Amino acid sequence: MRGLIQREPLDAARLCAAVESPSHGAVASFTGVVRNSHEGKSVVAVTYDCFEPLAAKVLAAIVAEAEAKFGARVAAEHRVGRLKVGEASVAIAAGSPHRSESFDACRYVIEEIKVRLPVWKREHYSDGDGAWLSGCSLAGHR
Amino acid sequence: MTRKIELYGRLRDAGAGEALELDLAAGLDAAAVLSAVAQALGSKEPLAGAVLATEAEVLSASDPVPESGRLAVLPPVCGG
Repeated sequence: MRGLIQREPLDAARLCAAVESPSHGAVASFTGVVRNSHEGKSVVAVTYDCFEPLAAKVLAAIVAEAEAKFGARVAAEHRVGRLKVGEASVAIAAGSPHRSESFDACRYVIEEIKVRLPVWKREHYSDGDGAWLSGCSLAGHR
Repeated sequence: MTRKIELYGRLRDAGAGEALELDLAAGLDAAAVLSAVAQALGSKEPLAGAVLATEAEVLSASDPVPESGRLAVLPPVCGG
């Protein structure tokens, strides 16, 4: 399966290898990484919460949509649990005969993840405080 | 029937922890279950933008709630 929810560190190189093919002239990848600030607050870590059975199904569906839409081979993984600054939270790879399809497929997958995947993040700040981030309602998504 | 309703994201901080146990009548739709959750939490506010979901799909307000399987209340998402 090329769309997974992971508890272990992500490996973008492994995903790139999974979408390689002799007929592919391009492999593009996207990695989302925990950054150290948000709206002026110093972030030290982010906890990713997830409703795993539905998230696995939705991520697999997004990957399949990207493959059908762009004619690419696609792999994507989203990590859950507490991640430190610099750790990868999401990794996406796409391989295709030409570069535009690979770039477009990566972009499609991350944008759909943002609005459809049942995942939530709670930032942890250097002052010891924390907050769940606002997001997109799943109302209307089937 | 007593059903476990899982809570995710910001709803974990709404006062009930990671799940609620609710006595629900048979044949309720998703909107009715969300109302019961709001009553248990003492406020509708934490449920703004939230939906009820099974392991397989997000339920619309008028969808009947399956009598078995996991049920979860999902607030607005922000993965990535």
